[in-house]
This record gives sequence, structure tokens and C-alpha cells, in this order.
Amino acid sequence: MEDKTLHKIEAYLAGNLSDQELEVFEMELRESAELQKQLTLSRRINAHFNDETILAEGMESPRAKEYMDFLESAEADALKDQIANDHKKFAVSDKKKNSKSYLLIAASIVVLLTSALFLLFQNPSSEKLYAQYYSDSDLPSVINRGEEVGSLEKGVLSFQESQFEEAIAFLKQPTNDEDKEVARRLYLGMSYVENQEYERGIQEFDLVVSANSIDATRGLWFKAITYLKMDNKSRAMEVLKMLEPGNFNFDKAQRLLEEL
Amino acid sequence: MIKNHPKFDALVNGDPAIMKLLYTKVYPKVVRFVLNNKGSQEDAEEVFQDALYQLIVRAKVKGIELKSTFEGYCLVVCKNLWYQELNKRKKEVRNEGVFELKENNTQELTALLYQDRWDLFEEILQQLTEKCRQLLQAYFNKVPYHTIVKKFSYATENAAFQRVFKCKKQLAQRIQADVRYRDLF
Repeated sequence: MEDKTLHKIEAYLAGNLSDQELEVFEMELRESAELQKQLTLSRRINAHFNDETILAEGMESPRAKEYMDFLESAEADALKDQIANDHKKFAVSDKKKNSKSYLLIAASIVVLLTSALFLLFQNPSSEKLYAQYYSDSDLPSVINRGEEVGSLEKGVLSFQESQFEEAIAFLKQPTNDEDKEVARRLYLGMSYVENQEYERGIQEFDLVVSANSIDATRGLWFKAITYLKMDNKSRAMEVLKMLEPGNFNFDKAQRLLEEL
Repeated sequence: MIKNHPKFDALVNGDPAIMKLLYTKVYPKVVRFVLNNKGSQEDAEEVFQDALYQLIVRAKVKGIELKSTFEGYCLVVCKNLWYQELNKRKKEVRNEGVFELKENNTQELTALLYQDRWDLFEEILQQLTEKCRQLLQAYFNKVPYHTIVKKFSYATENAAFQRVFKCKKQLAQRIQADVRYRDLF
């Protein structure tokens, strides 16, 4: 198919055709099976990569018939029973294993707390202050019930699961919404920090600071926190001093400055 | 003849070592993922069992060849099932509680076809050059062309548009030429 026609398909899907062009295109569409085929393909590609689920498609396809034959068989019912039985067996043993792990974790926490208490009376380290002052609840809330799950939401979920590389891959993809961009950059920045790519994290926070958003000073807070993580107290202090009354975490920043 | 990755053959044959691997390596991640994404423990258990069912059915009916790790692929299947469930719940909320009741088999078929299509589209995308992939990701995420121009160092918006167009054309041609496309739609 000619590029000119493919361009028209793109313009049609994007709603960029004039009334006159639209009329001509729809007439061509009625007459050309090939054009209909290309339009459908393009629409399917857009839907897949825009995370829109077209669920009802392909129900009469050759593959669907093969699957349906199996789904309606007695073998399928037996398989479901088998999976349910296996679940009881393996998921339960997993819980038991977890309870043993919890005991080990609890014992480790006691040892760690003892060490931490010992260290508490030594010099307060940047690492300790970072642990004390960094909270992921300072990051904006992104996931709302009923909203489409896009790359930002997927990135935040990966971040919450500590899958930072996966989070970075999702969060690198820009959104088309200025408000969401601030949240995206904050999560991306913290994903870099957690991945020990501090400079990249700071770059993202700088972009938040320079954004024309009410949340811009949140970038300063996370930048300071990153310097703490890097054990660079003087730069952390410089950044914290830039926060003004009414800015994000101003009071917390003052307490941190005193400790530094 | 149906061709499977050996681990899927083991799964089809009910190999306890594979079940143990899945419950040790994948199941905890699925639980965390669902709990972090508006779901409950019961939802996670249901998704995991549905994913096992789907994987075995697909391995039996058409075979599964892996392009990533076995555990990674199983996790992707679980996540896709959960995204579909979330979208379904969202539609139910929009319809103010009017539930569209469908037979179980139809729902299962829908999920099976969805995952097959997902495999096809993602696999073909991976066949493109790194630059094309990045450009298309930006395009599909509706990044404005003036931003694409800056990010990818194009001279003009028209140059960026032409490049995106060529990448999308390649993607479409490859998808259309793949035998699975005709089989799935």
C-alpha cells in the first residue's frame, strides 16, 4: 500500500482529517477491502501499544476454535481441579516456609537494632539520616481507582515492588500530562537513586524543580535526600536551605538541617 | 507437531519441581504485585491459578516458545491477567454495577487470545531497531512531536513524523506477514 494512503489512515485514526477529506476517505473505505484491512491493522496496533484492551476480537479465529475445543473438554475440567489441588499443596507450604523466614527476619532485626543502637551514640551518619528522613510516602499518589493503567502507573507499581530496573523502563516513557510529569520524574529519580545511579536521579529532580508546577519544590527535597544518600552532607545542606516556608517538607527540612 | 520450551513440557506433565519453582519464585511476586495494585490475597491466588491454567492450555494446544526467562514470562502472564481484571472492574464501575455475565469458557478464551496477541505484538516490536522501538514508545505514549524532535535530535517535526511513520510501517508489515496474525484475528 502506498505511503500516501497509509498517511491518510494515520490522520483518520488521529482525527486529523478535514470534513471534506473525511468524506472522501470514508467513501474509499467502503469500496476498498484492502484499505479496510490496513485500517483495522493500524487500529489494532494503536490499541495494543496504548494499553487499550480489545477483548472481544478474534473470537471466531482459527486459534479460538482450537482453544474452545479444549476448554469444553473433560480434560479442561480435570486440569482446573489439578491446579486447585496443587495450589493448596504448594501455596500452603510456601506460607509455612514464610513463617520460618519471618522468625529468621525477626532475629536479624533484633541483631540489627542492637547494632543500630550502638551506632546511634556514635556520629550520626548520612546513611542513618537518609533512613530516618526518606519516606516513599513523600512521593505523590498516582494510582486512582477506575483509571486506565498506563506506563506511569506500571512504573509506580514496579517501584513499590522494589523492581527498580523495570520501574525505570516504564517511567522513562513520558506522559502527555504536565501534572503527571512531575510525579513521573520523582518516581523515576528515586528509582535511579535506589539503583545507585545518583546523578541521573538528581537530573530528574532538577527537571522537577524547573517545572512550572506547585509540586516543584518537592524536587528540592528529594535532591537533598539523594545527596544524603551519597554521603554529601554539605550539598544536602545547600539544597535544604533553598526551601522556604510553605514549600514541601519545610519543617522537616529545618529539623534535618539542625541534625546536619 | 506442538513444540514447547522444556519447562512448559514439564508444567504440562505436572512436574512437582516446576510447580515448586513457580510457587517459590513467581507466586510471591504475583501476590505483591496484586496487593500493591488494588487487589487482595484472594485476587492474587485466583490470578496465579488462572495463569497456570492459561499456560498449560496454551502449551497443550499450540505450544509456547520462550523469548525471555520462564519465570519472567509466567510473571508477565499473571500481570496481564490482572490488568485485564482491573479493566473489567473499571468497566463494571462505569456501568454502575451492571455486570456483564459471560460464560467462564468465553472469559478464558478471551484471556488466552489476548496473551497470544500480546506475545505477537511485543515479539515483533523487539525485532525493530533500538531507535525505532524508542521512537514508537514515545509516539504510542502520545509524546508531542516537538518533544520527540528534542529528545531524538531531529531537525524538524516533519522529519520526526516521517521517521515514526517508517517505524510504524515496518512494525505493521511484520505483524501482518506473521502467520500468527491470520490465526489470531
